[in-house]
Amino acid sequence: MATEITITVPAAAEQLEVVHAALERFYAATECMLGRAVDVAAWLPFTTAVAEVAANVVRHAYPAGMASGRMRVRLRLARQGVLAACFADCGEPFVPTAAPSNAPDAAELPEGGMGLAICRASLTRLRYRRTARGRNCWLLLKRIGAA
Amino acid sequence: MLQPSGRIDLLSAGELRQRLIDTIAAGQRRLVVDLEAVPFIDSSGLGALIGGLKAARLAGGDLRIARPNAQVRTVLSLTTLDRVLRPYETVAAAVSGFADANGN
Repeated sequence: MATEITITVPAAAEQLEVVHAALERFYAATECMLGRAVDVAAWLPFTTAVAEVAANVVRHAYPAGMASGRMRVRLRLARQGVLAACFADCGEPFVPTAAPSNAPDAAELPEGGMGLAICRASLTRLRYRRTARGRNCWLLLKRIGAA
Repeated sequence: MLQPSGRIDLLSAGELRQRLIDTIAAGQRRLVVDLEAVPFIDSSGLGALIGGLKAARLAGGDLRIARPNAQVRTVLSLTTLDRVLRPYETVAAAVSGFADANGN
């Protein structure tokens, strides 16, 4: 069973379930390759981060009405037990905004903008780059067995 | 009590948020959201719960969550929002918390 799964889907909210389905297939493939269950302490943050980046691409990569926008998601088990996800899209460059603080006061609690903060907290590594050919590429790495 | 089912994400968070706001507007200020049938939540879903929590507290009430699974707990912990959206093990525990608050 291959431990690399690639999907290319329209960058639309309705397609997020396809990303989740791909994650399920990837889990099964990874379990098979490792010969044991994937540590939930790594898997849950990884899937959470993958879903956040997918939602981020859906929300921000393509201007409203640009229905043809697509995203490619590649999930693979890298060497040394690292879960990896690569996202690519041809949309607008990602512009980071200030992350909300973790404010304990209910009135200050953020109702949005938490996605990338969740990714950073979830992953061993998160990298974004804009390629010379005008693509957005996100790389997400989560080491199995790392906190 | 609300019992959403399925993933709460970019696609469904708006609907949940509206249900919470409508419920509070209808006079129900103390809400328990039973998450037993929610396999996955993302930051949009958390935003909906926070929106409901704020609206409930503005109305003098509160919002509590019960029976979140491991993924939901992971996201709450990563965002430190478990400090304000404390997960209750059972719906009864969440409701009895309200009873205690009323008693005080």
